[in-house]
Amino acid sequence: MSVGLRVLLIVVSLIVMVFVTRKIKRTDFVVEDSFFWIALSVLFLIISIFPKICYKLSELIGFESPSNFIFLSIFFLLLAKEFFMSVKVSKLQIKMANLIQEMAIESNEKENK
Amino acid sequence: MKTLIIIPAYNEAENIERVVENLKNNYPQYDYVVINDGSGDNTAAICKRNNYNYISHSINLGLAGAFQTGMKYALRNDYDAAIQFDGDGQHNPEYIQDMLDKIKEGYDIVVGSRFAEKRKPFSMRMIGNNLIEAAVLLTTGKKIHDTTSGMRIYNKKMIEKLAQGIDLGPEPDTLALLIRKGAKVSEVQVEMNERTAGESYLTFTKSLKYMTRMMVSILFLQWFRKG
Repeated sequence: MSVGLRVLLIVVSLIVMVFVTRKIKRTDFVVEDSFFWIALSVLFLIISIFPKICYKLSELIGFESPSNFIFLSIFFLLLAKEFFMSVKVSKLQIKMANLIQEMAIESNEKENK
Repeated sequence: MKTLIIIPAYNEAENIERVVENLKNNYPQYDYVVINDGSGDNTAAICKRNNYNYISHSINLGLAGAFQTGMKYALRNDYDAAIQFDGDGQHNPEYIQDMLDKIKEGYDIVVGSRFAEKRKPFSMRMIGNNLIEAAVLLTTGKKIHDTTSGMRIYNKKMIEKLAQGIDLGPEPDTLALLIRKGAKVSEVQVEMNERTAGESYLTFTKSLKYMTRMMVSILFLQWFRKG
């Protein structure tokens, strides 16, 4: 892995960390949801400091270069994240619809009393 | 038989008065409820002014959400049957009695069908209609001639399911799912009116999207769904 990529990973890791902590500070972000991003940022840091882990893993699976391995892993990770995000949005939609329906029915019942 | 007419209304200010007055004056034996689905026009104001029985969503949930609100209302107020009725005057209340008779015979769902006895005209829309019909036949073994008809009546058992279920909008895929889970469905020949005001939401691209979603839902996702 080139020095450039390692430096980039460190920088990105720090930026993510700064973003997460700032959002937490402003209470724009619930602690529960921030874990994924903190973990990601730590992962970047580990990879850039100990690139040997990547060499070993990519060799084991059979990638020609470790950077390909990193790209693909991050791609899959984000896909998975996106999928669970979709699920979460669906659940929120169902909850929101329920809430609006209950509110509407209750206000109708109040008026008709 | 305690019967509720559910009228989902989204921006139906031009139609709602005519539809509800017709029901109130000519069909007082049925109860009705207008579900104003977060309309941007004065649908809610018209309902309030005329003292109609109406439920107002604070934001727009779409037809499926409005339909379910009606089912929840029917369940809470212990109705024996509930019918979904268009807010734009496409449906004729004169057929409700025929449909109710079928419910009394023991059917769970009765579809007000444009093609129960009459032949389908040949048009792009009917090709879509036939495709959905074929998908429903293939997955349930039941021939429904007008799966996309919005005029459907449900008995108490179905009211409970539709009120409490998730993602059971008033669409052909729900119909197929309910049939496969044991619902008995029948059709009654009805005539529908052309829209007199407002515009249909069905454009070509929307129809295509609708068709694709229905086919995927009926042919594939149905096998994994609870109902």
